[in-house]
Amino acid sequence: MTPQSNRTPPAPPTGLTASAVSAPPRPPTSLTARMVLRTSIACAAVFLLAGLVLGLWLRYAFRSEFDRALLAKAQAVCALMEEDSNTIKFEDEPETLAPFGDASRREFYQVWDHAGRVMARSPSLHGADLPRAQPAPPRPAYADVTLPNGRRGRTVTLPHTPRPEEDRPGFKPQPITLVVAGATRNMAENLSETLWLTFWVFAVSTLASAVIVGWAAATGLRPVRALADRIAATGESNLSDRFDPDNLPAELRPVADRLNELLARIESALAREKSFTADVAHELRTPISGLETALEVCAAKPRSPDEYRTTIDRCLSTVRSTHELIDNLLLLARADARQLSPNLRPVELEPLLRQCWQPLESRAAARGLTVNWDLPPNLTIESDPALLSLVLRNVLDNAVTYADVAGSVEISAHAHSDRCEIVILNTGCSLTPAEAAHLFDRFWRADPSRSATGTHAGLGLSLCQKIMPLLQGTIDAAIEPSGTFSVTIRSPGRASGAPTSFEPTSAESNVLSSC
Amino acid sequence: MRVLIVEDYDLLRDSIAQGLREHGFAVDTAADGEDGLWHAQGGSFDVVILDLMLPKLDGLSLLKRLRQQDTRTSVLVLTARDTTEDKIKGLNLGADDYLVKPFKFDELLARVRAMVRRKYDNKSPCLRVADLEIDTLARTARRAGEAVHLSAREYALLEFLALRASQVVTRTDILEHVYDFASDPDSNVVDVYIAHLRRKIERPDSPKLIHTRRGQGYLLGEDKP
Repeated sequence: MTPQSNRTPPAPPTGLTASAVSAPPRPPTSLTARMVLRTSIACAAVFLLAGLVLGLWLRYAFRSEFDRALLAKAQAVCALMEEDSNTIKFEDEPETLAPFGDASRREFYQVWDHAGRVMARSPSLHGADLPRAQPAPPRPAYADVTLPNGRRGRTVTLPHTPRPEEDRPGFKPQPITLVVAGATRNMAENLSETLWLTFWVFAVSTLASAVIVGWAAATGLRPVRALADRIAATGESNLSDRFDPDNLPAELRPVADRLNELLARIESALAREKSFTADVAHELRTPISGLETALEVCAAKPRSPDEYRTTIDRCLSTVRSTHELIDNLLLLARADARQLSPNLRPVELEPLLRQCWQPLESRAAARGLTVNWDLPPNLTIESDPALLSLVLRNVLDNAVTYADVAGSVEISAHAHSDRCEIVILNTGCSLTPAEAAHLFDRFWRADPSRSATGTHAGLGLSLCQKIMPLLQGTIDAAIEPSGTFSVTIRSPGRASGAPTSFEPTSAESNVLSSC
Repeated sequence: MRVLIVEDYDLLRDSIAQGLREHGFAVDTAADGEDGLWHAQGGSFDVVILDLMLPKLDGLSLLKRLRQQDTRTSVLVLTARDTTEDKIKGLNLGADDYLVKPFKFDELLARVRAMVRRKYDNKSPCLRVADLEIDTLARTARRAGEAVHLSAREYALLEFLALRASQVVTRTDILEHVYDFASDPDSNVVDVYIAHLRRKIERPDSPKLIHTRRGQGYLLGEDKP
């Protein structure tokens, strides 16, 4: 492990401690809580906006109503007004004028002539002035004012030409300005009452909707909880059980389908793992059992030196092939754990292939195999020589072992731009394409009930398949109907004129010997 | 006693065979399932030692097919698979015993002997016929308390006769079950060894134990012909 400054801190073992330790707040993890929270926020926002619009509209409506009433009062006052030589007289109509009496604190009027002289004011003003719009507007105009008694109020300014007194025909009255004011306190109180009522209605609605959403979510999510419980109850013992999508709501069906697929994959991986363990047990126990029995039987009584020699030789050869098997298993385990670190460098292919072939030569000759080589000169590949020769040895060994007697083995290589392709094929293969699919499985052999324990334990090709990606290459196997079995190894490389001879460094040798 | 070993791993098969032969068993071997089944159906074996992972025909299939016609032969399953399911499967298919690799050879030997005893309805390792005592563990015999010195072949023949005491044992039975008599070119080998046994066991002052039944075979026991 290399120290890295920007490594993320190790994750806490469980989610529980994670939430307890890490300070940043997280959104509620419960779906129900999340739905309640979001619905409440959304409702509150909608109600707030609606309340704002409603409030503005109510304020406008209340004010228009107030203004209409104010104007009606002003017009009623106008209707009573008579001018007589620059004085204003009111027809005596106590019903209309009573609200403006000197006891009133709510309603006021004042009349100016066109020159700005006060012509009349309501007794309620007690001699004070109302604010007057200058110049006099042509149409009724409204304004918010502070009344002489300090209260807030509203005025309407009304231009008017009073009637002349009946008994003075020919008198032409001058236009005057009438200002009628009313205290707005009642209107404001009504408006605020209405607004508060609206607020409480909306607040209660928000609360109610949160409760309803909480209930609906809790009942609606019951199948999710049931599914979660079932998932929690799924373990190694009931891995073959499947979720029934037909019993679930439509939204959860894809979840159940994917879960079922996942379970199937886990189950088959576990079965593979189990059978691999059983295979390892068989491959290791059988030779050890052989050794134990051979040595026990041999030691049971005194024997001749020749008998001892035979037993020792047989045991030694068993120990060696078991050793090789253990090496392969360890190498596989290391490749699985990504502990193999290949050292990629340019390697001249032909010497490497010849070197891997050399130990097999005598066996190939004994089986009467014809060996054809087709290698272009100066083919250099980018690879780790130690690991690549392990792959090549395995594939070549298979070719020699499984070729038919007096058949042939062909070893060829070609460069395609930046890739190099090595093809090793042998005749006499009796596998079907369906069986070929298992070629890279661990401990798989054509005969399901094993043909030989030891060297050809069926680990070779799966080891090769593990190693090639580390060398940035691939390995594939194919079977022709004619019985030709071929393994194609692709690796980065090119035909070049600058060969580097293959000489495994001591470090590389150590990698393999310590495996 | 005649034993068949069906095991594909050469070293193990040969070692068991050698060990059993050295303990007085007649041993045949087979390296694959088909060969094993052919042997097991053809010969009359007291015990078949059967590996489960075999080429051509796996051990469980062999056992199943063997049990369809032969229920007498005891089968000891020998395997590297040690899960309970495997054991149950093997025993349910008609195996008599189960031994997981690796094992001690002495345990295998003891189990094979126990299976032989069970096959001949004999629970004790000590066989008794009148005043003749045979210790099958020490492979020794005593007549009236006096040790009898026997060769391996003589002992094997005596043990076989004693296991079937008071029954007529044919020459063919002896040839099939007793230590490599079948491979002896001398066709009179059984008669010769019966003669050897008579000379060593019979005493003038004790009743005769080995009887010849003309045209049938031999009988070990006190019975008068």
